[in-house]
Amino acid sequence: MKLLRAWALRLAGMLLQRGRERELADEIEAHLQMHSDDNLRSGMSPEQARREAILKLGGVESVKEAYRERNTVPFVENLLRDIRFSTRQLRKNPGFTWTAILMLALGMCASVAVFAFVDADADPAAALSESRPAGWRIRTCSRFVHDATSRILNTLTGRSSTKS
Amino acid sequence: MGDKADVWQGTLALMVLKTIEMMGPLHGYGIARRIEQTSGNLLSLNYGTLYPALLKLEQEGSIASEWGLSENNRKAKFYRLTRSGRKQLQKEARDWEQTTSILARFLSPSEDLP
Repeated sequence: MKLLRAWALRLAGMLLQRGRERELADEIEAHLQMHSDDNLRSGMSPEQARREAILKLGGVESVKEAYRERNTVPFVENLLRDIRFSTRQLRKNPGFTWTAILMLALGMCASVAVFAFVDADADPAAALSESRPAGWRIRTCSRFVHDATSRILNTLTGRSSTKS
Repeated sequence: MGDKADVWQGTLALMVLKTIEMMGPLHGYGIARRIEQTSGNLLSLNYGTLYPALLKLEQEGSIASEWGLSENNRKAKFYRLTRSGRKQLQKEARDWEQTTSILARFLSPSEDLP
């Protein structure tokens, strides 16, 4: 339950990051000021007091980094950043984008068309309608595609060829 | 994060909870100073590690925070113990005492063993 709560807050933390960031900066600043006040009282010079406070904190940026890592989910955050970056790149190169999309679409259409043929041919129900004058042209064509694909599939899977 | 850091995080959380329980609402700097004092300055605490630990405790609902004014009229974020934090503190303190007492038996075997 406690873990669940912590994770929900971390996911929410990703959305509310900006406000959180400022709050953390304020908190660290307050910390540094209180620490340098104490250092001043113990007789340091103002610069030395400040430097000593930062040193003891271990660096302002590294604290912020560790805090951020705890406040958000770094994996999801990186993923979102990657997606944003790639969409930006795609938008910058419309020529490439459209070529890629067209290639993928063509490839998918071709595979779907071929396998639809094969499927129709291998379908046992289709064998029953053999006598129907459905046009031998399509059947011969599909037989040819079927033979070719099953040969390819057989070599790919390493099976001995099974004649239909 | 290695094993060592995990153990350290665990003990740090317990120290933070106990310190807040003893002192009442306190800001990060105050907690850090107090932990060092309580340890008799044997512990050199990197103050920076405190803030992620505080955030973790807050996310788990053991402590709550609000802005207030420090003793020198500086704006600071004060952390206070919640009810579930108090419960967690009791449980963890008990666990820790048990662990140390078991270890103590190993380190200095007493005579009353059969």
